[in-house]
Amino acid sequence: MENLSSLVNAVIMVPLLGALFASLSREGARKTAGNALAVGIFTVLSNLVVLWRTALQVDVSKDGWQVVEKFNWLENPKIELVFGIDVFSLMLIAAVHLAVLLGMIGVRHNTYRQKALIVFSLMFLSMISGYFLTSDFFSFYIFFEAMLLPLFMLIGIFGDIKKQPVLYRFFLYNLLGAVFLFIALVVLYNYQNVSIREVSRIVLGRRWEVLVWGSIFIAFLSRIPVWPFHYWIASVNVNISNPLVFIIANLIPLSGVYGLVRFFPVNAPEALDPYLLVLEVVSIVTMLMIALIGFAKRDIQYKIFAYMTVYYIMYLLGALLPTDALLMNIGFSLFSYLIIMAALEVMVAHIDNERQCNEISECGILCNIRRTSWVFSFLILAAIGMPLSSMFLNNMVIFAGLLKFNIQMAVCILLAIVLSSVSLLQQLFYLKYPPDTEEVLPAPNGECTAADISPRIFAVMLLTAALLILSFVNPLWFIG
Amino acid sequence: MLVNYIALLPEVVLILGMIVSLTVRLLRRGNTPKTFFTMAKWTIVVTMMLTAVFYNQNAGAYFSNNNYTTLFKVIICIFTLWWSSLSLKRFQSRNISSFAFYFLILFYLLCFLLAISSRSLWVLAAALIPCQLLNYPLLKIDAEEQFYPRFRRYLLFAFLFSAALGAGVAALQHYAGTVDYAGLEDFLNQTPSPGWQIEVSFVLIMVFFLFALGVAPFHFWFAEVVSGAVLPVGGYLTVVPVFAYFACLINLIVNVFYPLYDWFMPALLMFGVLSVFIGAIGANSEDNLRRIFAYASLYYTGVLIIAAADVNDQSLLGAFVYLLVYIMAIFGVYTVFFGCRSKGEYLRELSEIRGLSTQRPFVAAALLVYMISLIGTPPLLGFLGKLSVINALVTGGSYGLMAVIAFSMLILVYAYLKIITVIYFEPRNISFDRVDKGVYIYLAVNILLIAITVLNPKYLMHDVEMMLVAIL
Repeated sequence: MENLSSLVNAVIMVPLLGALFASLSREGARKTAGNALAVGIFTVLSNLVVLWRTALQVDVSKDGWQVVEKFNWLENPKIELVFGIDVFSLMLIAAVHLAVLLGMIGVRHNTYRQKALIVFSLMFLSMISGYFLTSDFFSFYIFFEAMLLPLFMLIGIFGDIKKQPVLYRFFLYNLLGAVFLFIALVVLYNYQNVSIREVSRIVLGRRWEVLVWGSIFIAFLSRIPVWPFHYWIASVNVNISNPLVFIIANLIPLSGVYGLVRFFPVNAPEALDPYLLVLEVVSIVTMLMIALIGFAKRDIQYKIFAYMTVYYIMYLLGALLPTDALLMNIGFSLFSYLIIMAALEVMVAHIDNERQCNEISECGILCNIRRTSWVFSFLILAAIGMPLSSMFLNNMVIFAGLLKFNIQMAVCILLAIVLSSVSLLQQLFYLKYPPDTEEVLPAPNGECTAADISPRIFAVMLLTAALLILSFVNPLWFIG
Repeated sequence: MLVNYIALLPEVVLILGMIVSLTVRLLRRGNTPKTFFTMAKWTIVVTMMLTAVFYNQNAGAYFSNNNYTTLFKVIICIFTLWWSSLSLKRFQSRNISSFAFYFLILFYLLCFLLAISSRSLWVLAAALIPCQLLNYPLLKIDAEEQFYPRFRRYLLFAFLFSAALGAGVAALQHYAGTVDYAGLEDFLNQTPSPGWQIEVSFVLIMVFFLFALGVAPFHFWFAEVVSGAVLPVGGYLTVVPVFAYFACLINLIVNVFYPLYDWFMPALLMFGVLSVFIGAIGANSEDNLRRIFAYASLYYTGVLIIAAADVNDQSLLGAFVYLLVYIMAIFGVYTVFFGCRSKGEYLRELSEIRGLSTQRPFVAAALLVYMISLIGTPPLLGFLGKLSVINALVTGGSYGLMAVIAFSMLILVYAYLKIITVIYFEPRNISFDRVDKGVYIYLAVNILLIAITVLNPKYLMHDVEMMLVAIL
C-alpha cells in the first residue's frame, strides 16, 4: 500500500514535471514546433499509466478513500495535507486525462504559442488531478483555487476574447467563489479539524451553519453555469476556437459538481433546505433556457456548450439528492460524458477549420468526408444517451433517482435533456443532409474540398469509441 | 569596559565602512560604481555576521539584542545586500558615481540597526529621524528634475512628522520623567490614568510610524516618491525600511505602550482598513508600474496593521509571516523591473511592457509568479501569508476584518490582471534589451526560496515563533 500512496502523489507531480520540461523545450524553429506538444502527450500518457497502476491496487468494493497519505505541512496552525483516492476520483481523473489527451491531439497543427498552451494545460491537469485526490480542507481549497491561474492564462492567450473585461470578470467571480470557500473552510477548521468526509461532525450554531455552508455552496456554484453565474462562463466559452482550451474551460464546472458531491448531500445541514429548493428551481429554469437557446442557435459550439451545461446541471441536481447511492453512477456517467465532449470538440474544430480554410458552408460538409462523418455521428449518438457508452445506463439510474425524489423536477430535467439532444441531432442532420434550399458544399470550384481526418486521427477516434463501448459494458473494465 | 559594548560591533563596522567609503571618495581618483558597491558589500556582510554572533548581547541600558531584533537585523542586511547588488548595474550602465547611494544605504542600515535594538525613545528618535530626512538626498540621486517638487513636498512632511516624533518623546520625558523602555513601561503600568499629555505624546509617536510605513491617511507621499525616484532608490524604499519601522512599532506597542494601546487600537484598525481600500482602489487607477505596486504595498501594509492590531502571539505570528512573504514577492517584482529595459531605459509604464512574455518569457513568468503570490493564490507562498493572517483573524473572532481583507483583495487582483493581460495577451510593440545574468540569478534564487518555503514552511514559522518569544 505504501507504493500506492506515492503513486497518488505522482499523479499530481508528473504533469507538473511535464510542464517544466515543456517550458524548457525550444520553440520557434520549424523543426522544434512540435517539441512541447510531444512532451505534453508523452506526459499525459505516462500519467495515465501511473493512474492505471494505481487503479489496479484500488479495491472497488470498498467505500471511501482507499489510501490516505498525510503530509504535515504546518505546525501553527496545524495543517496536514491529506491525499487519497477512491473509485469516483479515479474515474474523473482518468476521464480528464483522456479529454486533455484528445484535446492535445486536436491542436497538433496549431503552432501559435504551442509551448504556452502545453505548459498551462499540464499545470491545469496537475491542479485538477490534485483537486480530485485531496481529502482535507486546505488541500481541497489549494487545488480549487490553483486551477484558476492556468485556466485564466489559457483563455486569455487562446480564448479569442475580444473584450478583456469579460475575461477579468470570469476570473474574478471564480476567485470570489474561492474566497468564499477559503473563509468557510478556515471557520470550519477553527471549529474542528476533520477530513471532508467527516465534516458533518462539526456542529455549528444555526446562524453560522447557514453562513458557512452557504459560502461553501456559493463557492461551488460559482463554477457551474447556473443563473446568475452562467453569463460569464457562456461568454467566455462560445468564443474559444482552440479545442484543447475549450475542453479545459469546460472542465471547470466539473470542479463545482465534484465539490458539491464531496461536501453534500449527507453533510448539508437542514437549515439549508429552503435554499436548496430555490437552487433547484433556478437550476431547472437555467437548464431549460440554455437548452432552448442551444436549440435555436445555429452555432455548433454553442450547441455543445448548451448540451454540456444541461448535463452538468443534471449531475449537480443528482449530487444534491439526499443520498450517496448515486455517487458512482454520476462518476461512471461523467467518465463517458467528458470523453465524448472532448472528442466531439476535436471533430468540431476539424470541421470548422476545413470550412474556414476552404471558404465553404458547413451545411452538408460531412457528406464527402466519411471518416469524420462516422466518428461525428457515433459521438453525437453516444452523447444523446444511446447505448454506446456508460452514460446510457448510469444516466437512467440518475434520472430514476431524480424521479423518486421529485417527479416535477425530473420531468423538467427530462425536457431540457431531450431539447439539448434534439439540438445536437439537428446539427448532425444539418451537417450530413443539407435541406434542398441550401446548396451542397458551395466550394469555389463546385467540388468538395474539405479534407477528411487523417487515418491516424481516425485510429485514435476508433480507440476512443472502443473505450466508450467498453465503459458501457463495464465502466471499471481497466481494473479488471 | 569595552567588552560591555561589544554588541555594538556591527554598528561600529558600519561606521568604519562609511568612513572608508568617504575617504576613498575624497582621496582616490578613478573610482568606478563597483568600487563603492564592493566596500558596501563587505561592510554589510561583516555587519550581518557580527549581528548573528552577538545575537543576545546588550550594550548598556539603551541597547539590547535578542532573537527578535537579530532576526529583523539579519533580514534587513540580506535585503540591503541583495538590493545593493542589483542596483549596481544601473550605475554602471549610466557610468555615474554610486558613492551617494551606497553611502546612504550604509547610513540607513546603521540607523535601522540602532533603532531596532534601542531601549530608549531618544535613541530611537535619533536613529529614525535622520532616516526620514536623508530620504531627500537619496531620492535626488540621478532623478529627473521634474520630480524635484515632489521630493521637496516629501521633505516638508518628513520634517513635520519627525518633529512629531521628537515632540512626543520630549513630552514623555517631561511628563513621565523617563523615556527608557523599561522605565516608561513601569510608569504606564503604575499610572492607570496617565493624563492627556502622555496620550498625546503616544499618538505623536504612533503617527510618525504610520507616516514612515505609509499607512493611510499618511500614505500620500509614498506612491509619489517611489514613482519619481530611480529604480534602485524606489525599490530600496519599498523593500527595506518597512522591516525596520514595523519591528520598532511592534516592539514599542508590546513592550512600552501596551497600557495605552487599548483605546488606540480602533484607530489603528481604521487606518488599516483605509489602507486596504485605498491601496486596492489606487492600484487600479494607475498605469505606472511602480505606482501600481506602491499602492499594492499600501494594501499589504494595511493588512499587516490589521493582522497585528490584536498584539497577541497568533496575530503577530500571522503579521510577521505575512510581512516576510509579501516583501519577498515585492522584492521579486522590483527585480523584474531591472529586467524590463528598452534602449537602455528602465520601463515605467504599463503600456511599455506589452508582449513581454514573447521576448523575455522567463522574466514575464517570474512577474506572473510574484503577482500570483501577492494575490495569495495557492500553491504559491503568498497563500501562506494569507492563511496566517486570515486564521489569526478568525481565531480572534474578527470576522468583519477578515471579510474586508479577503474581498478587497479582489479589487487589487483586477490591477494585477491588467498587468498579466499586457505582458501575456497583448502583442509586443517595442524590443526589450537583453536581461543581465544577475537579474536571472536573483529571480531564480528568489523563486527557489519561495518554492522551498512553500514545500516546507515550518522552518520559516519556527523562526518567527522563536522571534516572538523574545518580545511577548
